[in-house]
Amino acid sequence: MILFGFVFIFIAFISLSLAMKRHYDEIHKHLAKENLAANKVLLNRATFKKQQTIYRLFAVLSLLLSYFCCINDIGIALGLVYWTALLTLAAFIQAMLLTYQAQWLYQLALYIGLIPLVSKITQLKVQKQA
Amino acid sequence: MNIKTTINATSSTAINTESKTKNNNTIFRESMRGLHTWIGLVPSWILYFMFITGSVGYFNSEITHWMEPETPYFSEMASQADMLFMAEQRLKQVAPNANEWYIGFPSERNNSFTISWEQELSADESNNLNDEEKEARENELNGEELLNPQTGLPLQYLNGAKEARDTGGGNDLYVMHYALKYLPDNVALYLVIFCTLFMLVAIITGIIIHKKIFKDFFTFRKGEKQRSWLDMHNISAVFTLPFQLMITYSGLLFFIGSLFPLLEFSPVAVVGFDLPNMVQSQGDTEKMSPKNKQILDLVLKEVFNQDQATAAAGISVPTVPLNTLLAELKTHQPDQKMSYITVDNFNDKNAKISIYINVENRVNNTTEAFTYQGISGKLISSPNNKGFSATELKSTILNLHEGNFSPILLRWFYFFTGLMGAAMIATGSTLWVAKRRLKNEKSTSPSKGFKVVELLNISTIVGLLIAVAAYFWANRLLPIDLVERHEWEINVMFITWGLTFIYPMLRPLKRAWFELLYIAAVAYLLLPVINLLTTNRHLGNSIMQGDWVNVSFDVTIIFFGLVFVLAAKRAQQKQLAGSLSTSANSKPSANLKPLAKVITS
Repeated sequence: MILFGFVFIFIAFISLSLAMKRHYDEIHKHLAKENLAANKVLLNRATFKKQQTIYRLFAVLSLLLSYFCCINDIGIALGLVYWTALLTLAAFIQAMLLTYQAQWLYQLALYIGLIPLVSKITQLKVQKQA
Repeated sequence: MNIKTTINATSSTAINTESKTKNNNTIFRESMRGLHTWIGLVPSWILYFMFITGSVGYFNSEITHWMEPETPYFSEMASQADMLFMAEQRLKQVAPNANEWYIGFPSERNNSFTISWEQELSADESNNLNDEEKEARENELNGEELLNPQTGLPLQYLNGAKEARDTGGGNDLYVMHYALKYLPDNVALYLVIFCTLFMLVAIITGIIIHKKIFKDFFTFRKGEKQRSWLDMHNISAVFTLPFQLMITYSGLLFFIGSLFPLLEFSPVAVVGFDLPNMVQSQGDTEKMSPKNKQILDLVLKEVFNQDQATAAAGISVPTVPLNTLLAELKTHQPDQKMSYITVDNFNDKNAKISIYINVENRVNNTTEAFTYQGISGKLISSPNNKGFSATELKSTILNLHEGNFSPILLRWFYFFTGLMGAAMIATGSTLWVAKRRLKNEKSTSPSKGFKVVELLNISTIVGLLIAVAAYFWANRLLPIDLVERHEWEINVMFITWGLTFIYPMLRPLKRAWFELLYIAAVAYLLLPVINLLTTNRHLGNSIMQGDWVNVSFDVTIIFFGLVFVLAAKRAQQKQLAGSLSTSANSKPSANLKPLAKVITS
């Protein structure tokens, strides 16, 4: 459950950084190299503002979900402590990846949400068999 | 900001008030900036020391285990019931008449199975002997022993050693975190208090002056001269902000008795102690008046859940075997592990046995006591959730600081965040130097304070890390029978630190940075080799025996050694690149733009 919390926090931070033009451009820069018309990917300011709110809303929901994942198994006392620790760790990894390996973040953003999904499905399958 | 400019456009009368508010905000922010710079810089080196020793202190038991290679590691142990039986037999053998027994069970962090006993001096002895003789007699009567958790016999140390080497272990490192070293107690106390207070102010002013705290949340612009340091300072501070606020505030809370000395007198007025007698007795229960003693008993029981120790009745009645109590305990707490047990007045009418169990998933009250009557095995008291909210709040905050409730993963998080706090301090003082370097290099009268800060930076930030490695080297290399060996290990640590103060005075500063980093890398990477050469608890053996504590210590040391190699290489490359470009080639204007931006942001 704490692992899920970490995954959802990471997703939230990716979403928050995508909501900022500077980081959005960083993450999409590697796509722009292949795209001849770079401004197709690097959006202009007007389009960007609309999707900014969606990204931020998604991030807030993801953070809330991660909070409940953390306090679910182990109670609010330790859960809150773990949550803040995971916030620190996820933010640090996110900042380092943005600077050094922005293209990884793009892939991560697409696939990291699958981890809890796959894990939950296999857990349910095992429970069904037992 | 957008809303304000809209209002500005629509109404001209609003312009004056708007610019006035803006000015006030800017003035406030600028004043906080000056405060943050100076109040952050002055205690920064002592705070760095506190952060490093504190972070290392989260693993004090594990470090102590590594520093005592004569103590064997047991991956498999007897059950707690068996251990209790064996401890009882051994205690009956060595201390049948003791007033108090203590049995400490091995825990997840601490592998040792300890017993200890205490016996008070008899009435004749306490009256007739002088202080020295009393102390000698007490040493005879009291004692402690480590037992083998598989057989219950006294622990056999490895390699024919009679006892573990005299070392301070991880605990001495941890104690330095709040008590410093070589300073008189009072001086160290107030130095630590003021540094913590300054840090709290620095953190709060830091939040205030960080205008773009959300916009620049993930920003790390690498490769730039000053902005990269600022970004790293922001990252290490903002990401760990909940921890920093908690650790600083709770750090101050530890000293609340020293910060607000009159607090100690407030319960006296409320509860109704007889003040003159209380002051005269100095807390000694024998000198207190009966009324004061009664009130003290009540306070201890109601507020702190402590019962005053009952004296032995002197009537010998056999105590029930301790294992029979475990069955009763299981009805209350089926799965909880015992932490330790105290037995008062064994084989006496007033025998009392307290079993302390570990409670998980809690920050506060992680150990709870069940008390049984010795002659019958009946439960006298079980944990009650009584407690005053003020004491509960205080102990929660202090427990968050110490982190003793935390399982192993959370402990690593504490360690990592503590090191990031040290990075916050290090980047802060480096940033201070970087901002003023250009001015000082070009001016005809360079500031002496700048030079001092530069030297302190390099010798603290890298030198302290070399000193910690030296502490571990000393543990392996100092002769076993050296007198006051544990003091000499610490002396070696501080002597090494002192040498790193002298080193940058002898070398050009830029070279000194990466040279010291290389020295740190060598010190850390060679440590497992020294371990291999001087003991048989090296990495290979530890993996085979399943001694994961020693394995993680060695692996962490190697990891930090590699980090230092990388850092040294980076610093050397930067220094070479800098020295290749002459002053004509370097573009001062390109450097000033981000500088100006940083100053005005």
